[in-house]
Amino acid sequence: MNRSSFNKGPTDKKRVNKGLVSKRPVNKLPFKRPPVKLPDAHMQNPHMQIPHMVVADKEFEAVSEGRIRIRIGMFTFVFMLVIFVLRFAEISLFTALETKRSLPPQITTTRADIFDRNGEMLATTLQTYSLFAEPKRVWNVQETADRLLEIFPNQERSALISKLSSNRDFVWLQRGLTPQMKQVVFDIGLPGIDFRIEPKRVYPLGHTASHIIGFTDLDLRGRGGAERAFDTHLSSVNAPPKTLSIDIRVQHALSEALRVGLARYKANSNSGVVLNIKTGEILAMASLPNYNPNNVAAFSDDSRFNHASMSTYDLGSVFKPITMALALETGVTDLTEEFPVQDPLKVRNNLIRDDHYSAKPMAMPEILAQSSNRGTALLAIRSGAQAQIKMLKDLGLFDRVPFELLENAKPQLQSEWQDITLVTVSYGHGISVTPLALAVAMGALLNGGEYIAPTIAKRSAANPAQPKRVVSEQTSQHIRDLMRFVVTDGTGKNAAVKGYGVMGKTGTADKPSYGGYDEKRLVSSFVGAFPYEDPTYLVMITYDEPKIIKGISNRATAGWNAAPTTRNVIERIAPILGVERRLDPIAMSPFSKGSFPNESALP
Amino acid sequence: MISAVMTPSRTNRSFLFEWWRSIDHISLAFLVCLIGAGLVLSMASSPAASARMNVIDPFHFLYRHAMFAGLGLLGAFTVSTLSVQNARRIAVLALFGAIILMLYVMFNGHTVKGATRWLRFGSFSLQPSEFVKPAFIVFAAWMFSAQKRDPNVPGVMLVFIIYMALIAILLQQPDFGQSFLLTLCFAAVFFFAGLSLGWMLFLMGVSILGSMGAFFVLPHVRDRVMKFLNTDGDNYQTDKAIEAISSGGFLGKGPGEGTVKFRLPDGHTDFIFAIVSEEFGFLLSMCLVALLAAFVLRAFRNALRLNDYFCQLAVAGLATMIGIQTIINLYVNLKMAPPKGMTLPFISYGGSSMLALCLAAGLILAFTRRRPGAYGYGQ
Repeated sequence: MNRSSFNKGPTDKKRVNKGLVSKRPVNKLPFKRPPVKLPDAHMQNPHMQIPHMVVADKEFEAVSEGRIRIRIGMFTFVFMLVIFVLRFAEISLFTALETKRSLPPQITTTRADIFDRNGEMLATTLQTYSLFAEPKRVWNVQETADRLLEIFPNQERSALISKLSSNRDFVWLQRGLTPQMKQVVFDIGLPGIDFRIEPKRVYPLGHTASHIIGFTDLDLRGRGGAERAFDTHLSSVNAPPKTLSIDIRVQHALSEALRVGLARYKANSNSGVVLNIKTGEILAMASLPNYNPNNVAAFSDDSRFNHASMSTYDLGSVFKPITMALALETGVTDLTEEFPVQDPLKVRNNLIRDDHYSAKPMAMPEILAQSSNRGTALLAIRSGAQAQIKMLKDLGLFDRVPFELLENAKPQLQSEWQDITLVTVSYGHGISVTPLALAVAMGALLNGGEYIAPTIAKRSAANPAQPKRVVSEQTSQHIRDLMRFVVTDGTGKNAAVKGYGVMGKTGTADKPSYGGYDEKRLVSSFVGAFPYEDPTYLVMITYDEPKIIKGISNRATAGWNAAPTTRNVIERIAPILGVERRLDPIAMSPFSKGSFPNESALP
Repeated sequence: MISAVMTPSRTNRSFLFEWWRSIDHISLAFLVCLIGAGLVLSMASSPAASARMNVIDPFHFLYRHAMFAGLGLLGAFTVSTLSVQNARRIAVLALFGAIILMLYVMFNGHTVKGATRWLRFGSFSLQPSEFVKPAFIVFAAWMFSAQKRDPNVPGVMLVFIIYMALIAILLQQPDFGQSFLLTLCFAAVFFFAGLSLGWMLFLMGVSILGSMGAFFVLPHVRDRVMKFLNTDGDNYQTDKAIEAISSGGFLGKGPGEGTVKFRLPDGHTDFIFAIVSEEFGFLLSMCLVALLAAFVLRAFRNALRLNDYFCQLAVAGLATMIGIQTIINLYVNLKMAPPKGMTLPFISYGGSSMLALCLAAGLILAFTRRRPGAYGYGQ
């Protein structure tokens, strides 16, 4: 047993059995090759060359002959491989890339529709037909060209003929045919021309909600707005339609008011947001200039910029209610304490100026209604930087607005929070946020004190509002009263709408310029909310560099542009949103002189 | 046990150490590199294949490829640990197992594109005819060597009977490509075994007659040959492959940058080489070809040095099989041969093909393991 397993392998076993053990020595180190390689001739006849090996066995001869034949096999393999390499090199390195194009693949992409909150269609996918020719299959170029010209008179005859007789595998003739046109071409029955079904994204509303809905590229991939934000959902197979939070009627009213306002005040751009502050749903969001998503390529890049959520501004005095809430929430003062706004205020060698000088001390309602920077600064200093930072963070002003659109700018904040920062931020300077971010923050102060992340998708069980308390209900009530007072007795009178109890705050900021602010270039905005008894809807309007209208005012401040635009919007959307216009007297703010004035005096 | 007799100091060496000591490291390294390269290249071909077949996960085919590659490597390792006798037994078992499965497939198989070749297991399908080739080569080598040793063994007769049976089953599926490859492998082993001129002529006659018969009897064979011969005709696949290769140039378009691959059917299987050429260019594609050639030539070189007649024939036969498959696949990619549904060994996606080739590689490794008396004969 040991003997037979010593030389393993059938060969040796058999030799043992037959008693024909060769005298060939067993190679103790079979893995090391001998240093001298014998030429091939030796292998064919080893008897002569290696005398110590006496082999008299048929198998050895077979193995030797097999070696020759294997060498032939190897040679054949290498030869075939060399032929391959030569041809490969020729194709890969020495063939000019053929420019011919073959038929494009049939696109079978589908994309779900988008609806507004009431089921109005915002975007859908239609099948269009694109006409192409395969020149090789065209029988008669002249005849084909003439027949096609009857249907497409706009085509150039010579261009058509050169296309039809070109060398390419296929050429496009006309893209985006309607079914009727397709049938007409089909009926002439010419060989060599055919159709490709191409899906096309269609936006029935055109410009109206372009920034929210967005657009797709030719391959139906979302490239902006909701189309991009919900691309995964919309492009998945058999996806249900997407319902957005926007109300197309509100959107239309807002767009229209902005369009009129932009022309009237000759601003660079303007934007508006209508927010349901109880649910966080964005009912409308518009920005001018805008574009038509049905034909994106025809519009400039500027027009695709959604200022409402992409532009950050030093928004100015619209921040003041936040400082009021801060002071009330920290309990450092109350609504009646008077502050010495008539005295000059200097912080780090900077004089804090007031637009409307007051000779006497003012309490919080007057500070807000007259938009006193000094008064607000004093409130902020009293509250402290830490509390201010926490408040701003809680209101989401330190971060991008957490909503679906990718067109969503980060706020610009000071790297260090010095005492001057504390003061300027209290009246909205030295902090740049988007109008949408401010709208959401103000919504949190007015809706009872809860921050709700906004959404452009309609609220449902899958997309619930998740309120987070920021200020107490009592503080929220005070902010309502204060902002109501601004509209009845302060800078926001132009935003008043009879019967709706509008609350609001103006904000006019000089645009930052080299090392300071430019007093000639303004950003004016107005944040308004209604109705007073139960604040539900918020409107935020922002103008970038509005111009002075002669004969109305000598400054382009928010009270003269953003506030009237807000009034126009509220006048149109309040009935749409089902808010009843009240004929009985509306409660004035508790700070007003007469708490229940007669109806004729109602704003 | 063997080493225990030879050198007592090795008695306490472990099984794995023994395997590592005796395996041909260079062949093993080539094999691992090839399978690794196949995985990397699958990253290029998988997204395109997913896109063409509307599979949502772009790396669906990569994951499956990785699974088969892992299984294959494990199988190759397992087979390579066997002794020569056991490896041969496994191969012969595989041969008869595959024949039985093919007979089963004949009646209960899964039909794809008009051919009944597959057995389905859930989402996997097995093609038994892939396993027949290496197993049959080993069987033929065994029979030839047995007859050489003892002329009373009717080796040639047995091999012919099995061969005829296999061809009959394959043509019935119908699978002309596999029959062709099997015939070539058979002829190669026969040739290495010292086939006489008469037999050679006979085999050539049979294959020529068989090819002509296939051409006239099997419509899809005629279709493919006519397509290949007729340059104006519809050669979509190979035209796309050529387009891909020529657009790659010397350095390629870069990983993931290929565009033709999205329009190349079977890009992840038969035409992976075209995709590789498009993205990685001439230089790296040549490295891949060199790696494949190196594996085959290394096996041939080992065959040359083996003393044992059976091992020599089997290793040379298996190397020939992998070599022929490589050559045919590359030729098809360059439009130098009619498309035949032949995968690029170790690189193409395809479970059965990968596992069968790993079986072949495992057998080569097992037969070429260093053992007393195996090498050095005559030198």
